[in-house]
Amino acid sequence: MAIQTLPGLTGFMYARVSSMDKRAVGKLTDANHLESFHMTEPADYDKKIISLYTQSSLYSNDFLDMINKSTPYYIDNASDAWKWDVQVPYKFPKIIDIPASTQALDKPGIDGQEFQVVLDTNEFAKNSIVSVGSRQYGPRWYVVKDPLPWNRGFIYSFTLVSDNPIVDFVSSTFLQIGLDVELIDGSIGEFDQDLLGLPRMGDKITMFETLGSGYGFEHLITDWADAKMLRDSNGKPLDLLIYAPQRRNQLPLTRNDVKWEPFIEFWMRKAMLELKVKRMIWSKPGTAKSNGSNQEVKRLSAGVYHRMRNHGNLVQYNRGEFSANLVRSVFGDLFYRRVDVKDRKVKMYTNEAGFDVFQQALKADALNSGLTFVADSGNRYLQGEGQHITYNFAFDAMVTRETGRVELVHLKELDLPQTQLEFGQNKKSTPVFFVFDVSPGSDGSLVNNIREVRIKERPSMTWGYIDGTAHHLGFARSQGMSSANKFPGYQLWMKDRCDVFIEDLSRTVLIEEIPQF
Amino acid sequence: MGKLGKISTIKKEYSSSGMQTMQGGLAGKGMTRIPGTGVFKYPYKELDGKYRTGLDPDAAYIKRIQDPTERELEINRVKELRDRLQAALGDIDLGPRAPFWNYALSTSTEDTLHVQPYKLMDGDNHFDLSIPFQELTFAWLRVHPSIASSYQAWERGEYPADTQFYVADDEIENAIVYKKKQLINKAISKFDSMTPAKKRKVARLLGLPITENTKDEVVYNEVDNVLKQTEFKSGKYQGLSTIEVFNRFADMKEDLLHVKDLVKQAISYSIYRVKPNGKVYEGEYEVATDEEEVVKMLIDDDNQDMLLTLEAKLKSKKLAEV
Repeated sequence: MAIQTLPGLTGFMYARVSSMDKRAVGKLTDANHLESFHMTEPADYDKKIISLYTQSSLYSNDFLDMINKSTPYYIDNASDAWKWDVQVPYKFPKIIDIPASTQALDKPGIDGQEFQVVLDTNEFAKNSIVSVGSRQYGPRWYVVKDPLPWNRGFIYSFTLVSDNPIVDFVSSTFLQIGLDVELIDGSIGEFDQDLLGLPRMGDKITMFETLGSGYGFEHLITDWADAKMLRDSNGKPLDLLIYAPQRRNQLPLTRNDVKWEPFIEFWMRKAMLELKVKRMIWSKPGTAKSNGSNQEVKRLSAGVYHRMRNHGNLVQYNRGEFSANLVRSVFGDLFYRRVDVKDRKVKMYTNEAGFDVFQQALKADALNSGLTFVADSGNRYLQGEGQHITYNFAFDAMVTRETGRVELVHLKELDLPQTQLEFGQNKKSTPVFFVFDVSPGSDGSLVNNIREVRIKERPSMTWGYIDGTAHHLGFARSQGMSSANKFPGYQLWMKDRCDVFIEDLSRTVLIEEIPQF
Repeated sequence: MGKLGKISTIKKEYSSSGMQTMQGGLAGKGMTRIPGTGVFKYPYKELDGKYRTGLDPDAAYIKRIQDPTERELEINRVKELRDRLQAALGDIDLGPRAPFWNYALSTSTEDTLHVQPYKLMDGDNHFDLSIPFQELTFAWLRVHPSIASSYQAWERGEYPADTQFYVADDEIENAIVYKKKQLINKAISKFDSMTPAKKRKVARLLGLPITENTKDEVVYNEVDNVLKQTEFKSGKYQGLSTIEVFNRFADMKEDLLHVKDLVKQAISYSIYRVKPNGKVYEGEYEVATDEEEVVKMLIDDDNQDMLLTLEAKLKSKKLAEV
């Protein structure tokens, strides 16, 4: 039968047909099993198989394409773990405590009165002048003497810098734990010998991660099953339909095997890739034990989603409240004082539902902005005339001063299947936006910020055959073969061990709806 | 110094089975996420369309608070706060369905007519509660379902294990603990002033395994232990406040308490049997449809002969056991 492209079916139709009775092929094919796929049936309807419109779609592998563009990281020592350094962003020193002696003062700092405050660093030396809370509105405090260690911080003695010290005092607004303190000035007099000290050095922390456990498939085929030729009475190959992901808008993959083994091998390779993509995005971090007992502990490492969610920038909004302003405020915050306005850009990878809410939010924002959209402006908004006008406009990108250009990319991997738990009936998966890299040097994709990790000596998956009394390449090779055991058949296995790693999670943002369950 | 609100990250211990993981590594350095990253929060919208503002005395989360003391404290606090903030912020409607809470309607990051998001960072996030907008932000953050109401609440399992933040509001926590301790102490002192016989009756009605032979000290200790728990862990009163149930029996009229205790003992000495459908039997004879009905019958002056008979039967059962 010719290969068919059927609407709604993203799986490919292989050149055989099974009864589609929900039986898994599993790990073993014996002769009965193979025959049961091809039980005698009534005459075929001329369309052979009708693919239902409601058939659940599978997914495409565009994520894998993207990660393949990143250079993999190979672990090349005796460890399963790897480490990297993260630069800790600069934080201004903070007030961490107000001693009771200062709290007891009615008007702290009045008339040159000294008062004490505890900061988390000792970088302000005697004669420094600092601003508190805000460069713009905050008071200036003069450091009377070098700070002294005080529990987890350092106690400072300050006086208030004021033009009118007789009435001026420190407002309680600026005597608060958590306020930032910043060096603004220094005051060195004629006989002062204490100059200011340099601030603290930059900080970095070393992080570790461990390569997760492997994954793999196996399948056992008996000699008798392998000996069956899967042909119909006219000698044509029998068709078999399997569920397998296929890239949308591309022609289906075709196989013309008559033998079972090459087909299983081909299918297993696809299954390996599919599982790799799933675990790289959705795997949850944790451990499992072989046989569920006290045996070997296996590491399950986190996929991209959980890494970004747990350790990166996370934005969770209420259903129906995605807005252009949300994008402005989130990325405006990330870019502020870090990236020049001209260099700002955001590429958001999203699913179809994400496109919907983004376009809706932009349309609402545009219509509320005070702009007038003139219908008759070329064919930008409306096409046709009279009773045949097409309403046709949507935005899939925007530019704001805070964010630069924000554009969407459809990552079909994120078009998740509907589930009973989350969506109810006939709804798309919830919108989710992955921003893999907001740094100006990046093209916004995950290239080189998100990489595959492998052991150096194992750069790709491995696979093999355990031949019993039948060779996996068929009868001819079974004559005089070297067999591993006397099992009447052979076994095929594939396995791999790889992981996904995000170098810099501070460049990533995950935007998602708060779940409604 | 003005009053401060604080929301902090929950620092968890990690047992990664000796493996080096990022989460474990961060935890070892007292961090929970990569430095510089944060979580943007918006006021949470309930399924009924109301926002969890922290300013609504009729909010569903308040109705769900089981402990009456805690619930009453929260309602009073919320009412007072809402009045104060509305007065401070002018005519802004802070009702749970007010457009103020819909961030999607915000026109810019400067829009003060709509709520602004808050970015929670690793460590302590402080809020100066003398500044109305900070107090408002703290109000909706502290009732957000992804932020535990206290560290203790997270430890008790009232929030999912992967919750990342908690409200470090010692004042509210202290007020609740204070009120609870007061109630416990009052109950204990009420128990102290009871006669030994009444103590036994109350203890039995609380479901404790007290017999005629149990020593007074044991009765005291058993009841004292129960009162110091917040709720019954099992039995007929499972999930109910121990203090509330205790007070019900302690304040009961003497004759009613006596009858209730008598019925309880009649059941434990197998004079009466309670079938799975709740009906009370004496041998094959159905006495009443439930325990409460037996109590009502026995308390009735017309049925005093029945009460005397039951007392006599119980006495002889007890003697037979000796």
